[in-house]
Amino acid sequence: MKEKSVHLNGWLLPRVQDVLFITLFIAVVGLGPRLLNVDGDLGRHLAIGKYILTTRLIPTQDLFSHTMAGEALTPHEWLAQVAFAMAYRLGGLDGVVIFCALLIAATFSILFRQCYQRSGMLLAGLGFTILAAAAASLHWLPRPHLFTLLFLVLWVGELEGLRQGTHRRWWTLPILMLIWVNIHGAFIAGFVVWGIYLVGSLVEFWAGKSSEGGGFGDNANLLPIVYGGVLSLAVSLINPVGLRLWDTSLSFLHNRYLVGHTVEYLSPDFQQASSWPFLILIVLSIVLLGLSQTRRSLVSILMLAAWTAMGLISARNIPLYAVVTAPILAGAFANWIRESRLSHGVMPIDDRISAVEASFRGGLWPILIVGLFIIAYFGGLGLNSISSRNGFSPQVFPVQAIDWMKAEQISGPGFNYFPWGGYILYRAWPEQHVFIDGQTDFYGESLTRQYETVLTQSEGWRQVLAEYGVRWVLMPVNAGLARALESEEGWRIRYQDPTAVVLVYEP
Amino acid sequence: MSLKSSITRVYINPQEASAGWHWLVPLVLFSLVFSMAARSPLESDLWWHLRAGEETWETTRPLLTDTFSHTRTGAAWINHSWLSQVGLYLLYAKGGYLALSAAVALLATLSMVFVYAQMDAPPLLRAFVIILAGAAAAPVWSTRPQLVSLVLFALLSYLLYLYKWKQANYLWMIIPIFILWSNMHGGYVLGLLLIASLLAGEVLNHLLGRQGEEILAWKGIAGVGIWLVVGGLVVAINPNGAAMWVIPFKTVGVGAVQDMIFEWGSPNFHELAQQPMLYLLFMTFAAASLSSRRLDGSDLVSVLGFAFLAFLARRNFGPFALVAAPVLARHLNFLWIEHQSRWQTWVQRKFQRKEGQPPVRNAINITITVVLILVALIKVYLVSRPQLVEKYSQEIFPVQAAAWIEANRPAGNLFNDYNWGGYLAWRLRDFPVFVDGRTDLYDDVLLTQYLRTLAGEAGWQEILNHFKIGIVLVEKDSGLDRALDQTAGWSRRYADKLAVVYVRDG
Repeated sequence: MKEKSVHLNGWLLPRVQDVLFITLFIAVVGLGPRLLNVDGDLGRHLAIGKYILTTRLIPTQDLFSHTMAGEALTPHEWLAQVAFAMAYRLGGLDGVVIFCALLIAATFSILFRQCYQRSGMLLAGLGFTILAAAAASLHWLPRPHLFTLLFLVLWVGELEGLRQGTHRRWWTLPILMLIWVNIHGAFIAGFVVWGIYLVGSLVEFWAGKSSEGGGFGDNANLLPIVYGGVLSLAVSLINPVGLRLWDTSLSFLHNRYLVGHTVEYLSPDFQQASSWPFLILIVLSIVLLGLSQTRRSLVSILMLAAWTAMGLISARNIPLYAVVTAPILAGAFANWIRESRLSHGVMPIDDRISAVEASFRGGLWPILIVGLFIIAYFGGLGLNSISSRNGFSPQVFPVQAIDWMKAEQISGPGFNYFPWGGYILYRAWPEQHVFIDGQTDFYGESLTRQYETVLTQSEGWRQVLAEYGVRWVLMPVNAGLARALESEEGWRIRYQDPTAVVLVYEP
Repeated sequence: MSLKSSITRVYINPQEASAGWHWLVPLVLFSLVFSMAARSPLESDLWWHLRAGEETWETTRPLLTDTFSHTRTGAAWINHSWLSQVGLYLLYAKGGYLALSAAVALLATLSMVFVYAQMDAPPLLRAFVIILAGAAAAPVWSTRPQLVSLVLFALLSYLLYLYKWKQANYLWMIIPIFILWSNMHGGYVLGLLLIASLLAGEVLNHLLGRQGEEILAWKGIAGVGIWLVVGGLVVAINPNGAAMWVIPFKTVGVGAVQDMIFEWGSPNFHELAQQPMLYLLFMTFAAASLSSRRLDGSDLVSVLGFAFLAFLARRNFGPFALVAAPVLARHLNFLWIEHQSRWQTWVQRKFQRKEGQPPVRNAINITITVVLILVALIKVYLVSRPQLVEKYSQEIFPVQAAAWIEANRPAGNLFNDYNWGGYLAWRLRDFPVFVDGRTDLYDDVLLTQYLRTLAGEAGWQEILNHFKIGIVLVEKDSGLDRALDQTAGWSRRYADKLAVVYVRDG
């Protein structure tokens, strides 16, 4: 009888991981309006995803701009775009928000498991997962990189398991890579991690060999890492454009101009509060390395150093840094607690919580809550106020301006504000094609410079507009270009609201 | 004997080092640091410092009200650098650019000498760390009073090192150091933070149960606390009095500072010049985590604290480098000792010593040293040649545009680019500036008005009218340039590659 009740409680009571999942899910859903209005790339992803779902074709040539029409396009996010478009079909922008919330909640729940396993201390696992989530939150946007966060967590988990010899499933790496390489261009992060594991494991093996006299073939943990990585490299070519995918992803990173002009690729600004969780994680890693008597493995030190450097060089890498380093830091923290006087006070509490946690099966509550939430969301059961806010804000995007352009049937090549390119595609493609949008790796340095020339009215800006036969311009209402064009012959303001202004060329 | 083996032998043999070779490494090293620090005096702020120094020298009173701008004229100015300004002015007046460049190189080298003195490590390791720290601090080596702050910071750091690690108490020197500091530069607060980090670190050592002769007893900690208070109090001994306590908060409190001043911004690690700070940080903690000795509490707190400040603002790279370098050297030395037998075997195999011929070796070493010293001196001479400085000045300051204004003397107040304010304050004595590098004098309201006007954003005309601006001197292709170009009532009267001058019609 007693066993039965324990068994039932095990199913009915939520685990810490369940609570974390539910909290993150609700938090991200609550952040929906913010998620949708931070940048305009979602519009582009939805437009391409809808195109793929409708035509069953993956575009490998540009169909979306008039400046690069027909040029070779690398669809490095096509699978993510399909996923976003399917979520959109099912629930509109609400569906996209819920889908992102599920992705984020799943990612950090898995990360919590890893932190817990690595540290053997539930509180440390939970604390570092929350810190990692806070650091990563600066880049919680409805974009394909959310998949990279999930895949990176899974990838590191598999590699760590291989390194520690807890499993031999090296074949999971190529399977993960097959999906990752088609879902987001940052699959390269997986190979960076693999390289670190390979080098660290080789050096550790070499150091071990010198003292223990073992041979290469004796190391059962090293070879699965090699097999998994090499096969993943081969698998990474299975994508719509093969080797060109690597070329596109790497060439963008080498272009100083484009990287320097993309905000998320710049170094983090620590005067902004959103960067502080990252700073706290750096400080904690330094404190733990400095105070702990237990030496960390070379792989852990290399992972910490490399990802800290990458996070400091580009803010875009901070979420990746957070999910990669959280398990290492949780482990280091738990070691330090065990070494210190605090262990007498903290460890018994943690052990008790862990024992209770271990007796629960979990999983029921997340399904229940997410299910109820979705029913309430779409059934109008009191959550309409959140749902109604999930949209592109007229204060951020040219919502009314596009309405007007559609009504007036403004046509021909245009010049648009770069951050609005995706939104224009979402609202007006295929009738309208953009001058440029957020996919700078496709548009390249030359066109981006031309865009900048026009935007800042630098020498030659009129020639650029003439070269592309621009007939309309859509700009923020206080843009210098709008004022400059106003005094140009043939250009006049046809529409203006507090957000946007539309100028049309009428010679 | 090859050159390589000649130098290596000096580094790897402690007996020889103590027998007379100890002078070679520091001499070579500091010649290199001097060369690294020798640079043309091209900072915009230098010029308003020179003008303030000139007025102070000529009137024999520190300049404590604004006379350079028309927006703040007559307002009280907490001039925290008056003594440095006098020094800069006298150097410039007596020795021109050469004296300024040499002073920068000497002060930067001096700060590294204090760091070198804090290192308990073989000369080769010390030299490596000093070069790395020098590269990290180099972005802040400039012809400005903040370099004096760096030297005083290094000196204070050395005193605290002696107190903690050598049990030698010279803390009474905190009094003259802080009095001097508060008359030379507002950066004295960094010194107070350094003492506070020692305090916090020692408390941490006790909390962690650390033991050792370098761990300060509670009595020693209390003593440091008293010196911290004394240091803070004596800061008021300067012409600005107690107002000096406010200046750090006043400067940091100006929100626009972060938007428009490069050195107050967070680091951009895409730039090669800013990366040595990262290398220094990583190496420090890699060495600490790889060596068997745990990081001392005060080392941990000070490196973390100043790394935090460096992440907030690039101008703190200097103090961070001075704090991190001795810690890195200390742990590299621990690593060296732990693996000494392995390293020595490797080094001896690699650089097999050839006995004999000491006179030849001596001659080679002396020649190298002399050549490096000569190179350092030649470099400081070359970078400070007036032709060179003026050539570069024309690329960064509106030299010709200022000459045009001087010759044509248009009517009305001047609106100028912030980065040129210092230069114009020195050059155009009859045309007070709108704004210059004294951010603590100009508040957020004025600096925001300046930024909006410069960008040509809505309301720029009202701001120009409000300040009765008749002359606009800004960068070519700036927002204001484009706005004025399309506005009736203004004429572009002068333009070159760098600057444009607009004059109000009528």
